[in-house]
Amino acid sequence: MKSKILIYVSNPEYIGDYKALGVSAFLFALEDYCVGYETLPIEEIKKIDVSNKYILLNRILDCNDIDYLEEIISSFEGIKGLVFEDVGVYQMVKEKNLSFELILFQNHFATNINSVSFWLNRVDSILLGNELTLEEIESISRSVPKKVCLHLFGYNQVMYSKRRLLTNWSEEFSIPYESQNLLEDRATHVRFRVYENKHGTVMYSDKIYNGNVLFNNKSIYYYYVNPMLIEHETIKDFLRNIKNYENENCDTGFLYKETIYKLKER
Amino acid sequence: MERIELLAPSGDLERLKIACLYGADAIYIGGENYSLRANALNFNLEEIKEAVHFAHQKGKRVYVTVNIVFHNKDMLGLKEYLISLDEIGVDGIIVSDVVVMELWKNLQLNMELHVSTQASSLNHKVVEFYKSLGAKRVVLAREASKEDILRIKKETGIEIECFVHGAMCTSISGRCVLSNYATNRDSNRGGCAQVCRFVFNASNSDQLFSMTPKDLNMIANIKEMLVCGVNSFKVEGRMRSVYYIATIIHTYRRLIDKVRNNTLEEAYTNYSLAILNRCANRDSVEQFFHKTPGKEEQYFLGRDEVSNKDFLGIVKSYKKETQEVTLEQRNYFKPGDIVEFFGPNKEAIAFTIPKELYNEKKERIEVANHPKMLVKFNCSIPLEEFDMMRIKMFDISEFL
Repeated sequence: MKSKILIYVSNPEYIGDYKALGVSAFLFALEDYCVGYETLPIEEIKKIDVSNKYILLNRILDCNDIDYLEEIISSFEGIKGLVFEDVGVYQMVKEKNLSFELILFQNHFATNINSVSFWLNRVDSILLGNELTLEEIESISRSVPKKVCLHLFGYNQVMYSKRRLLTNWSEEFSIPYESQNLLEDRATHVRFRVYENKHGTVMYSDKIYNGNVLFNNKSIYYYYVNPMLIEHETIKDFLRNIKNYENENCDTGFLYKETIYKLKER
Repeated sequence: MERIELLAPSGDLERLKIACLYGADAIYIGGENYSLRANALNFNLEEIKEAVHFAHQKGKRVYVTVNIVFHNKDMLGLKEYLISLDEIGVDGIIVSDVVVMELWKNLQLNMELHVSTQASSLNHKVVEFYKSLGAKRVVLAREASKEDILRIKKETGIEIECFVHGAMCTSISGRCVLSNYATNRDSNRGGCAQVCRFVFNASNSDQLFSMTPKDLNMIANIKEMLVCGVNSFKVEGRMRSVYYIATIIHTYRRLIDKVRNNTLEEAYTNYSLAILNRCANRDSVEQFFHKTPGKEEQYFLGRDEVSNKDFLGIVKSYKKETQEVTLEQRNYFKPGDIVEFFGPNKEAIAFTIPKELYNEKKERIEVANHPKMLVKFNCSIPLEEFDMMRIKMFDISEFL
């Protein structure tokens, strides 16, 4: 089953450990095309000697971004696939008739059978939204025409802003700038981890999502592990013992907690 | 000739009528289901029918938001709902989830397909994709720059809708589930609790953290937006008051018309800006059109947004012969107060409340102090039903 793990690599030095623990598919965040991740320039990604190499493009792209991507994409030798958020990437790859494997990774979308099926008729796989219940995940994954990807381990992405929220705050109050912070809502005491780069700010959940209860389905395309903001040792511990992994800093997200949206009927 | 429209929000029939009368070319509303303002009053099918009938009589268009991100169980009744909207004669639906786009196509519905801002469209390729699905229009993400708008229009030729006024999300719209985590309410199904307007403790400082954006205000950029090829100028705020909608639409209507007639002067723009800022009781600024917003475009501490008392009443009737106005009171006023009337066919005109005020029973009163009470007094300014009275705020001469 570990061959079905796709892991984000923040530091290429960790690849040896991941391989030793059975992981064989690797995701690299492309410089200038990602938020909420530590990125690498394309030249550096190309030099990394692994098979099953995927590139993450998780920004919402403007016209200049798409133009530049169109220029450089032909040089993505050795890249197996693109994991992307902006549908413009799909359109561009289709127009240029490129042969990359395509995995759609739109945070908070891909939440019903019909929408997922729509996309699976166009791309190779899709990462299901991270606000789904266990029942919804099972229902979608068994009802769609191709295999889907699931979040397995990592902080859940909660919000993505094009604003540089930590920069603005540090400038306003003359606080030394740090690209990461931990915020606690004063009313609910819910905490969020914040990570900023020059393209925007991402907020993550405070608890690490552990979806190991789902790690039993051979018809899943990839299980996604995101070590962003997590100690390398924690990731290794998890990979050693996925099925039985427990950690007080983990939770199961919305697997057993359905969200509401209508407070009262009219 | 390309359609140019001022698009207003409406949370109920009263507001829809006000928006139509005050100069909107089109109105967008939400149904009881599938809309991102799940806890607003919203319209049932009968009310949508009435809204469409009223708007079409006035030559206006009506769009219905079907813009949640669907979970499996939300699909129940969707097909029948879309067919009903089409039969009613709704002019377009605003959607973000591809499931609705596909259904719209398969059902071969007559109403137009508009892609919601929730789909986060910021480049020509993504817009080309939605166009290939049959979209007539794309509502661009609020993060769109002038260059992006220009380029998208040039490359795709599609109708472009852009927000020009109202509240902003801190996030790229649709890319946020803060509510889910803080309150267990699903942002993308209409349960947004506006957590981005909360105040936070930060781990590395005693200084409180806040990320609330100021409102959007594009009043100074209407001409540039027209040059870029924007077709629809959208005002945010389906949950806002009739006064807010009347003021914002009244102001933008005049601005757009003056730009198109080439009669806009800087003083009028500045005057309009002052009125808009006062109306929302929150600062409004340009956001992403010319640059990425910085610290000046957001607030840093919690704000008590106390609604202002500018809105004094709405005209219910006016007798030309006797010059008697009957006004439904909305805030306290008394003889001697300097106020102004504005209306669908009226620029703001100053007026002093006369000594003699009467209630509904024609009894003399000293002050108008009960919400929604009917107040009668003489007014030499010819008024019409739906004109509004507010505190005299600014005079355009102050801006010359």
